[in-house]
Amino acid sequence: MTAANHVKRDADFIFHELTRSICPECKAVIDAQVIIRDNKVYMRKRCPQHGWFEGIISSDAEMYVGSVRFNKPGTIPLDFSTEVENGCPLDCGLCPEHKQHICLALIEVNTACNLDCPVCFADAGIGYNLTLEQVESMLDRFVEIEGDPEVVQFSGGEPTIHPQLPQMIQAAKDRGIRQVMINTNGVRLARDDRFLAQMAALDPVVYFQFDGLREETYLTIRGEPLLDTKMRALDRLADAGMTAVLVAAIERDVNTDEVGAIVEFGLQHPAVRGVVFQPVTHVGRHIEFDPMTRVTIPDIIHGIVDQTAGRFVLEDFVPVPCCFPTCQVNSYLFVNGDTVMPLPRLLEIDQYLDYITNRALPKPPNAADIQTALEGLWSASAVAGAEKTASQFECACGPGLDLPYEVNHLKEHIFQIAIKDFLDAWTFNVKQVMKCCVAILIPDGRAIPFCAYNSVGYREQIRDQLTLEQGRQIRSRSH
Amino acid sequence: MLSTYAAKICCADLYSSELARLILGDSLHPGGLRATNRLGRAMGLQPGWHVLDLACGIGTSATALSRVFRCHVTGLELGAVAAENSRQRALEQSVPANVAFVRGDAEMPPFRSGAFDAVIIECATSLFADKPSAIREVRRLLRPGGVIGLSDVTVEPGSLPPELDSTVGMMLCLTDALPAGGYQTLLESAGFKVVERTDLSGEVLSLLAEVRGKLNLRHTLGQTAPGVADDLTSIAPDLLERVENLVQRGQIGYWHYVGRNKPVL
Repeated sequence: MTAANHVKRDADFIFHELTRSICPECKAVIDAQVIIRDNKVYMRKRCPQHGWFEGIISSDAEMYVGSVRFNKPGTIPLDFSTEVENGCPLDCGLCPEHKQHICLALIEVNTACNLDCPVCFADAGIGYNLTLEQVESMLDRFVEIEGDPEVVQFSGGEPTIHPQLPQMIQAAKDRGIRQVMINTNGVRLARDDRFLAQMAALDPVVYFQFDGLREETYLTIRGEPLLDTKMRALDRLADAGMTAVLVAAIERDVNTDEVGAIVEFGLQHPAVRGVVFQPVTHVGRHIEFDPMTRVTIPDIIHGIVDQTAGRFVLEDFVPVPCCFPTCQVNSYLFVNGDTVMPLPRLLEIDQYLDYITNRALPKPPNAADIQTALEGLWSASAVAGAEKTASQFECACGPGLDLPYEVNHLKEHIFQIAIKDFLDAWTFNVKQVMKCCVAILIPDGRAIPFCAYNSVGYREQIRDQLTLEQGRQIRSRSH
Repeated sequence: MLSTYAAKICCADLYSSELARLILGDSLHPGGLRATNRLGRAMGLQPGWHVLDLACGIGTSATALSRVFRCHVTGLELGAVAAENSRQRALEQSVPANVAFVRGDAEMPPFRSGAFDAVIIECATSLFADKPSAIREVRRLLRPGGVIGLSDVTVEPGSLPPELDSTVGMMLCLTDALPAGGYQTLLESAGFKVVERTDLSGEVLSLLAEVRGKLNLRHTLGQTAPGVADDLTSIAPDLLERVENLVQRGQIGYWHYVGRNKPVL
């Protein structure tokens, strides 16, 4: 034995915290350590059955730890759908121990898709179609638990191939839900004139899968060349006066070098009001990956900063306080011609944070949104003080009023960049799930946090159940 | 001073203006369709019921109510532009056949007695010139046991600052609004049994907070974007604060009431 063996050594990591996660093999809930090594954050955990697992959860420890100050108190929903029995994440949901209400609710209207991508967290394929009646009752339940629901996003599968999607969108609007979105691959929008016209009349915000500007990217992630289809769909959306948010799934060594180009493209395209980057979640179908080098939020921030020739600095990206702030960062840009000004440089951000980030999407550029917010109400009260405008009211009582430039057009100058890191079995952290504000609505009235739904086994269970039920109904009708 | 009828026409047209929509939203009242649906639930609207939306504006509530509660809804509106817009929008949204719009005076509704199961009046009662008579007319239109749902801005006596006691105040339903207790008395005097009254002033506060955020944002952008002048911005926050104060102190509010048509003894 050498003397060196008798000298105490420091560990090569900082022990940051103990939390709970799940086993990537059997999904059992197990303890997990969050550690910091070389300014990177890793999760390390042991399953009694399957041994040790380690994976990266953030490539920038300073950002990760610093984001905590953006954590805000949650808002308690008006009602819960389950009891606390087995503890998080097995009682979804929401159970009374959940720490946040639902900012964004997803309804997966079907499981079928018109593509067959190698990467698909929803594992789209054979399964069920929700009926309009089911969706209406889910929306009613959502209104019951939220009172004042913010956003509903229709997803799938591929929602645009569901024959009742237009009625479902209308049903959400009729219930006063502030914003309705559809999450789509864009294939039908690119090809079907009649469908496009239907959508234009309803004007949902289109959450548009757009993984890059290289055909190889689509071949790898989507399994077929889609670049032309994507471009055609976006141009058609612009012609129809509709709004799109680009949604890019980012995978290491596939399109990490395209994040800057995606932002630049979005800034130039007339239909696009924002970009959402999502590191590929390794649930459902995914390509082979290394848990130690997967893409995390700081990789994308650095990518954007490095690939956009000085347009951005790291500080332009600010954690989102409504969810657990390690889950998402946002930036908002004021765009005017060639001027692109990130809002974090204009504002004392804390003062405006609620307004900018306590919503899961940018204020959409349709008049309805400006209208429903009482913005103008008190602007108009202000008019009371201005003699000139008041006299216009008294006599003209209506048309002919010149609206100030801003009220009408501000919305066209705001651009959002969001980076959202959904959890998979390697990164699953109960702490984040407990304050999750994105939920999947279920026909039985439950609302299940998105990452729990995908990682813990809810998706498989509910899909089987809904598929069976539908099969029974179809059989009973035909007899 | 305008004649009563001229004022009504003016007001009705004012409500149908683009600016009013921008200001008040498509539903033309605080809380939007959420508040409308809430009132509908409180009224217990049933599928197949005949419902009248008095002073229906551009018809947003009427079409939504028909779909959400599966009722036959008739919207009555005096404003020509609004009535036309209702029809246009109904066409655009391929509204089912169970919504109809009629142009006419909400204080003299041109319908036979007992024609409706329910009547809804959102943010319009405060604008009626003769409120007791208008509400008696509503009772005439309802079948025995029928339901009235009324929501409106409330203003406690003597609390309105002079800058709101104006045309704009009138547009915001402030100048001629009743105190919270006033609407209940109004309903009871007309022969309704008030079965629910709910304070929705929180809706006004949360929307005011949203407006504040937007105004702040615009203010900041206005300073950095040349040519983006907006003289409203400089005045609004101050007024906003005063109104917020009044709401917090309970001087200005937003309430809804549900009344049942008592059978005539």
